[in-house]
Amino acid sequence: MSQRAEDELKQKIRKGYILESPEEMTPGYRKAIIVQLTVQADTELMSAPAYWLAARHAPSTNTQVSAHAIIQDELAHANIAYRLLEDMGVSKEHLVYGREPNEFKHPYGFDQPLDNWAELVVANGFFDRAGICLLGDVHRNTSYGPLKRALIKVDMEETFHLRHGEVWMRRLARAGGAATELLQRCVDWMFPMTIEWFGLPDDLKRHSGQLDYKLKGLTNDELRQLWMSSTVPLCESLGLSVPAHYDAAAEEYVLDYPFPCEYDPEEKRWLFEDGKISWSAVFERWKGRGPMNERYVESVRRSRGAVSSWLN
Amino acid sequence: MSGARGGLAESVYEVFARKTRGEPLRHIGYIDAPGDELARVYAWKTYDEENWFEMCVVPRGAVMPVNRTDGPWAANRPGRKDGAG
Ligand SMILES: [Fe+2]
Ligand SMILES: [Fe+2]
Repeated sequence: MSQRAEDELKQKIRKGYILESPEEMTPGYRKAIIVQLTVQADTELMSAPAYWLAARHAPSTNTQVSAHAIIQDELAHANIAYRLLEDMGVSKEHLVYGREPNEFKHPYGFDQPLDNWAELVVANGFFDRAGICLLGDVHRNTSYGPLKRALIKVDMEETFHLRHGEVWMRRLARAGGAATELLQRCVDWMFPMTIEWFGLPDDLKRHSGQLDYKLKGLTNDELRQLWMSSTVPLCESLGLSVPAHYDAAAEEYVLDYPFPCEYDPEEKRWLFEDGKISWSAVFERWKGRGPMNERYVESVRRSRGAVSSWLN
Repeated sequence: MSGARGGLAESVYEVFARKTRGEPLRHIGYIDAPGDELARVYAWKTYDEENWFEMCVVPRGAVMPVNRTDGPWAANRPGRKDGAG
């Protein structure tokens, strides 16, 4: 199909046109939405084993229930996103069961181990907040009707995940002593992890079509600012220090560390002292995947072959 | 369907629900399931974001479009043999 068809579709979308079926997509639109939905589906799916292994650290039967309710939600969100892809002719079977672990498209943050209850609740407070920023923006702006409708449920549930994270962060912050120290350590590695999640700054971003096709409404930097505008005040109100502050003159949040920078996954520590690195070095690290990548992927699919053979 | 293997093969069901009496039944989503019984369970468990007054599932292959020739149900138009589901 021609550039003219692409331009015509973009023109219609600018005027508010909503696509209702894959047949209405141009090749450019189709390619862009498949990339977007694959990232979305993989992120939902990989959050489940990350939270699942961490849920062992839940301190009571009640918190076990809430932690597992979140995991259940994430798996449902993943299923919904893979179904949207399947309706475009992309095989879920291949995406979930046919790829190498390092071919999944979730953010690097969900390749990291969550080693205690504090890390799980900060993940809910930070990572699920990032999910709300990203998917809430898609929900408000997307030109694809089936996705817009699917995100109603997702947004409702993500808000619950976030509340779970914030309530528990508050409890741990109020406790003082070891609890607060642990919380601060979580913030130290998970704050920059989420900042990096939003990707390339706008001045470096190659043109992707996502905005032209209205698959989203905000740029990477705008989404990063949106996340900080909730997260920085939250942490400050809890007495936690974050490596960012609000610059009243510039009317935006400013990072107080070299961005992007290198990360030591064994130590769970950002190497601020080594200074700024290039984005191609960041992409290399992402491509190499983090320490839990294989374990998380295998944990959602390890028994498929065996059970499938019993049923045949 | 869609390349799923043998005993674990699943097909698509459309999920309809209403929150309260007097409200229209609305299409709220879809799920993949290996049969009608599990489709009912999966739908109830997956779409648990509301206290639904009523929920139903319909095999995708049973939904027949009246006017549209595109979208997920187009394959079920009478006369087409490549039916979905
Ligand atoms: Fe989710
Ligand atoms: Fe979530």
